[in-house]
Amino acid sequence: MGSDEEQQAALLEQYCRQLEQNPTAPPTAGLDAELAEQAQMLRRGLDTPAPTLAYQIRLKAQLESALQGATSAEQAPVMPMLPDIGAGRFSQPAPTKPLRRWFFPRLATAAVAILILAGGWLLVGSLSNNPTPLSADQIIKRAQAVFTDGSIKSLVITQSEEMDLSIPPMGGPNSIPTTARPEVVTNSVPTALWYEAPNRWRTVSSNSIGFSSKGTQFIPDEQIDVSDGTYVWHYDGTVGGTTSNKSAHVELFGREYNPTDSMNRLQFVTTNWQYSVLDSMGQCYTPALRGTDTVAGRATYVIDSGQSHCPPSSSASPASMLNVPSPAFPNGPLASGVSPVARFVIWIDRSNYFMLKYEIYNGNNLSRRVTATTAQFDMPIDQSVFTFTPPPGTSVSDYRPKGAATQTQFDAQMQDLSAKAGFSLFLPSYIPNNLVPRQPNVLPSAPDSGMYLNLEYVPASEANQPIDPMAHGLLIEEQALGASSAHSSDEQSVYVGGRRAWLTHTTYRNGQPVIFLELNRDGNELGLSNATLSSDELIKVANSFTQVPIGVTATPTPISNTLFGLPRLDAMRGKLPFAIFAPPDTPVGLIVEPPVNVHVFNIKNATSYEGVNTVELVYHHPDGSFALSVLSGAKGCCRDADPSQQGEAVTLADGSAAHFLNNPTQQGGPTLWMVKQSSYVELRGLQMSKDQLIALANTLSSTANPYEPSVFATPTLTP
Amino acid sequence: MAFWSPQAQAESDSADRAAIDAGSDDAGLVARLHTDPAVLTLLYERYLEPVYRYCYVRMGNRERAEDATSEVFLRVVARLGDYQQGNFAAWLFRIAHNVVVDSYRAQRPEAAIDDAMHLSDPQPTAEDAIAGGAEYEPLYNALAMLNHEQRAVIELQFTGWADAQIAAALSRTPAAVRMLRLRAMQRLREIMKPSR
Repeated sequence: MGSDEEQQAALLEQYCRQLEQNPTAPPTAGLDAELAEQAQMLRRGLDTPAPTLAYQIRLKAQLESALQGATSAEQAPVMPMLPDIGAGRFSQPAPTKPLRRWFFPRLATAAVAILILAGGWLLVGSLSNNPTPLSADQIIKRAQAVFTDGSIKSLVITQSEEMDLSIPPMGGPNSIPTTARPEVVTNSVPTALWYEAPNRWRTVSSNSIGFSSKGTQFIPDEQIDVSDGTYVWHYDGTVGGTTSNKSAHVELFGREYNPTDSMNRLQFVTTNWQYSVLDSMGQCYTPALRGTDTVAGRATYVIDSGQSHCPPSSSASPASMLNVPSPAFPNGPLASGVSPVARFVIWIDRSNYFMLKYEIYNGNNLSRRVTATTAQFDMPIDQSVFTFTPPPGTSVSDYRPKGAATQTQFDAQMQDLSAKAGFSLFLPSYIPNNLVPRQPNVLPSAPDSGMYLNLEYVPASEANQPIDPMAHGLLIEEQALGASSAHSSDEQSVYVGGRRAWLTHTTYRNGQPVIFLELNRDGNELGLSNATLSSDELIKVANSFTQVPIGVTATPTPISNTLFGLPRLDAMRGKLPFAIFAPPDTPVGLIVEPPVNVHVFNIKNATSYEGVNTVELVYHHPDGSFALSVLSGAKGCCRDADPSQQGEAVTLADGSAAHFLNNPTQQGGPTLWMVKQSSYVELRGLQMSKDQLIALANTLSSTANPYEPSVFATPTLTP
Repeated sequence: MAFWSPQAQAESDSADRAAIDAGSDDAGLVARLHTDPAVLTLLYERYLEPVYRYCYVRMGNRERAEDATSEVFLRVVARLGDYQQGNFAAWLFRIAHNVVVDSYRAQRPEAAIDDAMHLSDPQPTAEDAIAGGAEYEPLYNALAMLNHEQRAVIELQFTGWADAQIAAALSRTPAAVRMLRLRAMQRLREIMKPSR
């Protein structure tokens, strides 16, 4: 064997290793060119994929089953755990605790004896703090309690969050992948959490391939949330698709803090999923204790939820399309939790029951894993951690309460805001419970997004306190309505002075019931939120809205008159698959508001009045009060889908049939509905008689445009 | 007030992990296998992907590779009691090789399957499924004409087995593996020359 040959062998070995890391690595200097070429060809020709996650799960189950058979005679209290699934695909997992009970009958007698002794020692050690072994349900309940019982005084945790973005996080008919880029299959988000009871925290997460809110554009991501005990900073480094300071954005919130506020608790500090996973496991699963493991150097219980025995979520509202909780910030986690469809595996700290790791599977596909890489509890934390200074050049939106305002101050500020808001502002003349207004504010809805008016009504004695108006008073938010108004069938359709509105009953922080009321008014969307008033009171407030005197002309508002550069009604007619009707001549004395495409998602009952997709034209009196509604929709969308064909049958001038309902005001007022040109159309007028409605129906046209020519048409100059 | 540093904790954990790894070479693990069966977990972690990829190369598609890999590890579990000491990688590789051979034997009972480990190894490889497909057919044919060890060193090399694992699997010293690899490549070149 010549030295040259030995050298070539060594160079070949070196090059083969380089090729393993980089298939296009240049040949190692000195290596025979033909050998290098051959190595490259072998690298390409023998390229094989890693085992899939689904396969690893199956194999894990197979081996555990085989091992279970081997250990059944031993009556092991816990099953042995194989290593984490997907370790080769995601980043290297935290070191796992060695298996506790691999036992094989044919081991030498001495080895068996040692094994039994070792197993016994481990068993005694594992149960020394818990004389009675806990069930999976008991462990889960304790883990849930950790988020609220204050048993953890402080913590510092670093964790990694890994996602397979090609797999929907949840199963069910409405699940969709979170990315349209199948080539990007994994994502890793390192996060650091600092928490000090009761209300200080800092969370830092960075994401090299974050995805946009639309799930299609991947941009760098950096998020920092800091609570100093009084205010909450939210730093978003992704604004504008870059992490440069100039486009970064900071939001500063002031919120109340009390022992029951979720923002004070770990439930808020940890990821949206963390509490929800535990919450879901208690609802639709029969979880099983699978064994023990080590995460971040800490002993944990491992619990597998098994498959859900609840049906997949049928909701198809935008927020639930991904079956994930709505963004919690700044109002804390929602109680709804994640859709109970997925399978979860969780790792619970055996000493304090904090969840240190969890995995979410869609079917057998691992879609998400959050793992604590380091964890320390109940130790002092430097207070500088809980301060935040925005980087230079960062835009800052200050959402902190502005404090109490006298009526004079308030009126002046509203008039000032109405002149620069860009959309019409409305104020309620009726406010119950002696609530007083704080100083109003116009704020960005989101970074680089539209503005909204923020009105807060709180008890007078607390107007200057950082209390949450939604929890203690009334929060009103107003913004220009986009082309459409989307609602889910979970929302209750109501009428506010004849105008359509939607009530939502849900829960707020700490399970506090809360009511949302949304209504459309002159091209704006008005939202009322509160946890103290009844729905009747909320409707009464909404019914008292009047336009702020010095504002943008209410009807029609310039910013909402067009859609894609076209007059909105024409644009809708070009896009929607049904005729949109309007009277050719606007009734005398009435003013037409911008049309609104109302889309109600996920009808539960096909005979429900709530159509899937409708367009409503509202006409109001000069004082702004509702006068008339002309609603169009696809045939079968609305009352026409009800086999009973409710209403008094009437005949229109062209001989076609219509139906009249003499409804009271709270049900929308007198209504005439019919099917014309294979479309549904409905007229409502609070002070209109049956004959007046019929007369109006006889004039309806699917080409009439009440916005032309006086409002929308560009004047044509005649020479 | 002492400020706990995540970095310091991470470094500490990393050091622990390194210590674990340092003491967890195959020989060290196998020596503990009889007193601490838990180390099989680490061996499983270490060999799952190499075994799978080796099976993939030999079986030609994902489904068959998965079946073979499962069979390999199930045999490991079933036969662990037989395994007393020695070279775990070699034992594992022999099981993997036998699973592949058995698979072909089951499919084509008439085929002359070589289970003498030192003769040529003519089973078909991944002509139909591995990356290049027909483009690499001459390569696959040439691989099939190598003797078992030459073919094994090539296939293990390019399916993710570490140098030490290859040496262990083939019961050779690293230096011998280096020369075996060189010889295999030279032989491959000779075989392929007429068709290139």
